[in-house]
Amino acid sequence: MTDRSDQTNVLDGFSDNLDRWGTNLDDWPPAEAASARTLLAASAQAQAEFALADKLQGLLRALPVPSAPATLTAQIARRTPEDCWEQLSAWFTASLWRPVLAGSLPLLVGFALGFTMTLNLDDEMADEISLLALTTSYEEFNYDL
Amino acid sequence: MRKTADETAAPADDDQLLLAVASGDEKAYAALVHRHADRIYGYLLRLTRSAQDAEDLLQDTFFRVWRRARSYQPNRVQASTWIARIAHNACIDSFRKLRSSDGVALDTLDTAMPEQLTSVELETAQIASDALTNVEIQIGRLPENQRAALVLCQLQGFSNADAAHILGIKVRALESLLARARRALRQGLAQGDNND
Repeated sequence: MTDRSDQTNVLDGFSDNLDRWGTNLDDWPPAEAASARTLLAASAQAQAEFALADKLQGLLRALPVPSAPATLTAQIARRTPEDCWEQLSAWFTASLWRPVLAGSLPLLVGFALGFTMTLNLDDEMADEISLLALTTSYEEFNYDL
Repeated sequence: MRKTADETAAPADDDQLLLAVASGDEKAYAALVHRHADRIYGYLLRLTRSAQDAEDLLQDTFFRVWRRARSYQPNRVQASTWIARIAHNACIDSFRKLRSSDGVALDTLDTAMPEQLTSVELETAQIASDALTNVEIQIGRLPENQRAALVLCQLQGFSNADAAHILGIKVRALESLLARARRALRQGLAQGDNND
């Protein structure tokens, strides 16, 4: 009973290793490869597992290798770096900067006007503006009327 | 200063090509595209199972290669591994977009695109035997991380270490993905044999 379960464990371990490292035993860690060779020499079940894995390996090697469409490859290769940068800047402009710029345009215009405008006020006008700014009501402003 | 195609002779190996691309050499870029396009396309096609998606991602991949060529470090990984990793990331980004826009769950993606599976099956059926078609279908049914591991190691010839780097996982994790993928294929194959 124990022998049979040990054998099953060994076969399961062999099968796991076969899936992990493939059918080329030279690719396996040396200790595991040596155990696998011993097992393969003795067990028909291990040989069957190995044959199935080897068949799969063969099929995978035989799978057709798809090629990129030649026109596409040529198009990518021809695309100049400038085109790439244009795409990048277009992406930025379209996805991020355009709405941000549009939203902040009134603010920018306000700043620009503020910095460029110069006021020539005489002293009397300046006093009146200051007074107007500090008063809280029209009556207060017109105290002398 | 940017070099033009006329100023730079086409370099021989991938490292030189990528270094030239980093300095803006269009000729080197074209050579790199011609050298790697088929391999990358093959990987993308098997991962997406859609010719249209694979074509879009191929363009995206080389666009990223152009932009990121300066970050390539020849001593760390091989150029082919570096490019494949860019392709893989482009693919993952595309899957994420698809999932977030369609609300498709991660594990259900494989069964969520039957028309794409059909296109690849048909393409394969024209050039391969029934057994190969069966294997191709079995590969298409694998979860995408197992499929990616299998395609990279088994069909694209990357070492386990390189494939792990491309997928951004540890080698042991990659081996575990490979083991599950091969087991599923082996079981599918055995089932197919029994049905015959």
